[in-house]
This record gives sequence, C-alpha cells and structure tokens, in this order.
Amino acid sequence: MHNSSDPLDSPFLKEPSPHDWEARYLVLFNNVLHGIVFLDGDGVITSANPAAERILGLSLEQLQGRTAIDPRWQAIHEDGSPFPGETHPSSVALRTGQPVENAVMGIFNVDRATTRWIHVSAVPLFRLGEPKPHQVMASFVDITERKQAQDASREAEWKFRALFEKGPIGVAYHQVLYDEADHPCDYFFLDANEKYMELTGVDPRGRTVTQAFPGIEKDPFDWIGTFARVARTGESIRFEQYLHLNNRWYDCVAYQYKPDHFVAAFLDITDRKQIEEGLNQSEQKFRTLFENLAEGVALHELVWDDQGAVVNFRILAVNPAYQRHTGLDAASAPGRLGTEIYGTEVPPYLEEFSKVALGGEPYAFDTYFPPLEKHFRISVISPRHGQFATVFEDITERKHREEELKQKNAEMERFTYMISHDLKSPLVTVRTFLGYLEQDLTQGKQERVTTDMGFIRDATEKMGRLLEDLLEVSRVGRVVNPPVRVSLADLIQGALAAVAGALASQKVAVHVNAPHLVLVGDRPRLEEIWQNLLENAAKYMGEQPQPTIQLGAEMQGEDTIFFVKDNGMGIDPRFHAKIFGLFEKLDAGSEGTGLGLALVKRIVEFHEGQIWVESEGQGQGTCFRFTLPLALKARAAEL
Amino acid sequence: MTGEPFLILLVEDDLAHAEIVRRNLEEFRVANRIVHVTDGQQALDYLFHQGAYGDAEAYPAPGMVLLDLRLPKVDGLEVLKIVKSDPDLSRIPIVVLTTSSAESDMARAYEYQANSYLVKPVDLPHFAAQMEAFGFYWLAWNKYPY
Repeated sequence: MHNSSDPLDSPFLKEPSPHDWEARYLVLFNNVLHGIVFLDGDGVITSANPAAERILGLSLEQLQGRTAIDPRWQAIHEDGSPFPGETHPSSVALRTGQPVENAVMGIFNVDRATTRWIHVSAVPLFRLGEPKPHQVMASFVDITERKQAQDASREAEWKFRALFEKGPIGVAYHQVLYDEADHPCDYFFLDANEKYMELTGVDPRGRTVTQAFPGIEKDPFDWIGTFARVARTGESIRFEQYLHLNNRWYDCVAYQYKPDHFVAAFLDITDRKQIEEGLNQSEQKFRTLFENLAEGVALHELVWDDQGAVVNFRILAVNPAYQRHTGLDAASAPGRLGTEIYGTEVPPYLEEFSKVALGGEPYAFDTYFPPLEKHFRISVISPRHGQFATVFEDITERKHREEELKQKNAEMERFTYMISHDLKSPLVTVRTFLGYLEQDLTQGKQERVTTDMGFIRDATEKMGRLLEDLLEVSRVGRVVNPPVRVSLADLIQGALAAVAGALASQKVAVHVNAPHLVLVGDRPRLEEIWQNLLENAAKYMGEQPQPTIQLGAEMQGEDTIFFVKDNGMGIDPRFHAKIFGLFEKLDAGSEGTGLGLALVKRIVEFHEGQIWVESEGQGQGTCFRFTLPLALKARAAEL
Repeated sequence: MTGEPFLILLVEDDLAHAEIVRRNLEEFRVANRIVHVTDGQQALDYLFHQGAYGDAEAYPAPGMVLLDLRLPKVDGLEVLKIVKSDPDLSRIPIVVLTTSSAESDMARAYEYQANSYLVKPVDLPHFAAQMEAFGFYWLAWNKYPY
C-alpha cells in the first residue's frame, strides 16, 4: 500500500519482482469485482476496497472502525431470519481460525436503502507462531440480481408445476415412433399429468398411444399423423376435434419440444360443444320455421328521434311469406323504414308496436290496412327490448267470406221469419174458419158455409202456391240441370208457351226482339226468368186497353242487356228497391206469394248478373232489365 | 166515447183475417165503423188524407188503428213509425195485430210507440176470446181524449 514507481500499464511484461507483487496486489485490490474487507483481531474493519464500499453502500471512512457484530448491518439469512454478528463468517473465522466459505447473507445497503444479498467467504490470517489469527480477510460478491432471478424462476417453476399438476388442462409429453419405412406409426408417452389421466381415465405413461388407447389409429381423424407432423416440422397447431373412442370433444394444442418429441395439451370441450350443437339445432329449427311459416313474419327495430321519442320502425328481416301476404318485395324490405315501405305519413300501428317492443305484453289484433287495401290479423311479440316481430296473415279473403256468410245468414234468418209468417197466416185462416164452419153447421147457418169454406179453400191454395214457390227458390243453385246451349229465341218461345194462357186472357200483344244469341246453362231455370217476368207483366196490366209486352236483348257497350217491358200499371219508384225482396208483394189482393221476383233475382245473381226495374210510376208501364254474364261467358269459352 | 162515431182503421192484407176481426167485433157495434185498408200505403194515405183519401170529411180520423205488420208496399212497422212521429196522429192508439211472435218485431213495435201488441191466435175459440177482451178493453173501458 505504498507508492510505486512501477508502471502499471504493463504488469506482465517482465518477471515480477517482490516490489511488483505489491503493485499488482494493489491493482487487484482496487479493481476486482469482489468486495474485500480486512478486520483486525478484535473484529474491527481496518481497510476495504472500492468494490466493498460499493456493495455495502458505505465509504471507507464509514467502514473503518465498524465491527462485524455492529447491529447496523441488519444482516439476515436467506429465509429472512436475523444473521447475528457473532455468526458472521469473519467472526467465525476469527474465533475458530478456520476459513468460512460461501455464506449467503443479506446486508442492508444504506446508500440504496435496500437489502443486498452477498456471498461471503472469510479467511483468517496468522502471524508466524501465533495460534490465533491476528486479522481476517472477508471477501464477498453481490449476488442480489442473480438471487432475484433465481427466486423468480423458482417461483415460476413452482407455479407452472401447479398448473401442470392441478390445472384443468391435460398435458402429456411424447416421442413419435416410426416404422421401417420412416412413417410415423405410434407415439410413446414420456410423461402425462394427473389431469390427463383424469380426463381420459387412462394412465398412459410408459406406453404407446395405440396401447393406451387401442383403436385410436382407426379414428376418422389422423391423431398420430397430425402430432407426428408437429414433432417433425416444429410447427405448432391448435384444433378442436371429436375423439370417437372417448365420445368427447377436445381443444388441442401441440408443439415440438425437440425433434420427434412433442407436448400436447388438451381441454375437454364436450359440454360446450353440446351446447353449441343444441344452439345450432334450435337456430336451425327457428330458421326452418321462419322460412316455411305460412304466415308472414317481419322483425323490426324501433327508431328514436333526438328527443328520445319513438318515431318510426325499421324492418330487420322478413320471411318469404311476407311477400305473399303483403304483395311487397321481401328481398328489398330489410333496412327500410315503416313509413317508407308502406308509403304512409305515420308508421302504421306505431303505438301498438312500440308498446310491445318496450316491454309490453304480446298481443294480436285484426285490422284493415288501407295502404295495401287488405285485412290482416297481426300478432306482435318482442324478442328483445326495442325490437318487435310481427306474425301476420292476409285475412281479406276470409273477411269477405265472413261478410258474405253474414249476409247469407241474415237472408236465411229473414227467409225463415217470412216462411213462418206466411205459412202461419193461412193456418190461422183455416183453423179459425173451421171453427166458424162448426158453428155454421150446429147453428144451421147454411148460407155462411159456402163463404167460410171459400176462405179455407183460398188459404190452402195460398199455402200450396207458397210451398211450390219455396221449392223453386230453394232449387236455384242447388238443383242444377246439366248445362245446354240454347238460343235466346228458343228461351223466349218456351217462356211464352208456359204463360200463354195468362197472356191470352188479358189479350196481351207480345213483340219479341231477340238478336241471335246463344246462352249456355240450366235451361229450365233460365226460362223461369222470362216466365215470371211475363206473368207479372200480364198480371199488372191494370186498366190498359191495349196491353203490350216487348221483350228481347240489346247491347250496351260490351254488355248484353235483356229486357221485358210492358205498358201496364207501373210501379211507384218508392217501391223499386222492395220488390225483389223475399215475400214482398205490392198488391194485397194478388194471388202471388211474393216469391216470383225474388226467385228471378236469385237466378240472375247465380249467373253473376244484375236485375233492376225502370218505371215512371203509376200507369206508366214497367221495364225489367237484367244481365246474365255467366251464361254468355260459358258460351264464349265453349266457342 | 162522445157522440162522434168511433172509427177503427183495420190495416190487414189478408182478407180472411179481416173477416175474422170484423165478425168478432160485431157485438161491440163497431163492425159497421171498421174502415179496412189492405196495405201500408193505403193506411198512410187514409191517415194523412192523401191520394184516394184526400177528402177529410168523407174519411174522418179513426179512434184507433188495428195494424198488421206484414203488409204490401209499406211495412206495418214503417207505418207505425211514421204515424207515431206525426204530432197530430201520434195520440191515436195503435194496436198491432199480427201473426208474428218474433221478439224483434215486438221490440221494434214498442220502440215505435205501439200501444199494444197482439199475436193472432191460431183457432177460433182463442181468436174470439182475444177479440172479446180487446173489445171490452179498448172499445168499452178505455178512455180517449176526444
């Protein structure tokens, strides 16, 4: 530790002299990475090199005079327990005279304010002939970083060990086996974790896969080939695969550990797969239902304005039946607004729909929708908040049929009412006058017998006519004779022949103007039209001195209009609407049943035609006009 | 009843039924004061002095009307409705006499202010009994403001 003139630049250029040794020792002492401290026989530090100053965080001045047992060292063992000064390597070396090697000690570094870990060795130094060391040299190296790294890796290993042993993943380490042709044919289990065995129910260690899982080589999926490729190429893979042998789904990861060795880790995902499969199936079922439902289905979402008010809705999806029910293009519907697609100012049924979409009860209603001119039955449900689905069908046809049925029912009701009345009337007459007849006979009122019997006869005749006419009316549309071709002229001739007697007695002149027309239909029914109208005309001639009837057909545009016109007593316009009703009579004295014109109307309507009456009124004559499109159309189709 | 002749306007399209009514009312000495018309239009013409019945002297207002419902031209219910909505004619009692026992007919008849509703019985003893009761009530006991 004295000055030296020796140039330190080249210490190895020549044989060292004793002088050189000291110089070299100094270089070493000052530059070595090990901390070196000398303590005297009392354990007091006498000198320390720069590395020691650095490692301990104390300057030479601060170190000199400190003892090994100074509590300020705050020395600790690796497990965190105190490292008493008496047991410090330097103290031990001093006391025992034996060197102490490689003790690990934590020392509080004042400079860094942290504990530094050091590896300490202490060597006692003796004076010649003395049994006790007169000083000790402690050397130490800072192992803090190395120790931290070691600790970390130990911790990590411990963690991964736990994961390997206890985690949810089955892991096994394998070596691929090849046949003579160098094709992979099997693999050998070098190791497997507990989970692996738990998941598979097999302890494969020390066996090959074909031994542990017999038949795996026949699985549709090439397990051996797949893993062998990984072990050979080093390309990691991940895949989900069903293993028929175990009846389970696995999520597998495999990577090469070293050539022809691989690690495979897998997770049993059978439950998840089954749920997915179930979802897929229910999705599939729903799809099928949606696509094939006879009802139209449309899914919508509500549209809000800036103020948070619902102002519209947007179509998200529609099924094929949507088009059939609405007549709107199903393909272009999604994405469009309610107002846009239905061409309305206000989105149709917005209030009803939004109520359901915002958490209301699902409900159904029937409605007439003017923009499409259709009746709909609409069910509304909400699959999620802010959305609604409508299931609907076009019930226009049904509504019309219901309406028709309602009318038919009303007519039927009226019919039974009228029958009961019109049949009861003659019954009242017959039974009451039978009572009078009894009185006449017991009281000898012979002159009244004839009168009373006359009332009875008239009443029964009336009943007879009524029953006959009822039968006729009921035949229309029910009893149908095979359709035949018949000319208008023939029909009129047939009708005229049937009423010839009535016409002759009234001396009626008949003028027929029948263009050449052929009708197809139930001839007796068609003839009945003209027959009834002719009878009526003859019956209501009134005081006309020159009774005349004109009949035939004329064209009005495309339509053929038939007519029967007389110059008789006419019909007050007030009663025009009434005369075609069932049992309606205008003349109380007439013999009619009030069914004649009702019957004509039914026959005309059966041929999709219309009938109406034209008359200026009393004494002005009457003209009945009617059409028979079906009879003429049938002819056209036949030609 | 006053010295004025008490007229019954019988509106009945069935001649046989009109004869039954006439015979049964004979004993109340009104038979010769029955005016018989056979359809609803004639009934209205008579009451409103129009058409063939324009002469109010020759066709004086009736004391009551016996009205059938099923009538040619103008239905009995229609006649009832028109007469009862006329301020001068509305106080004339109208007794409906019909074969119809349909509830809808009865309901509407009373709705249109019919004073009574009688269903024609289907044999002589009942018809006679009914007409007798009708005669005593409406022609003997009932008081009229004219």
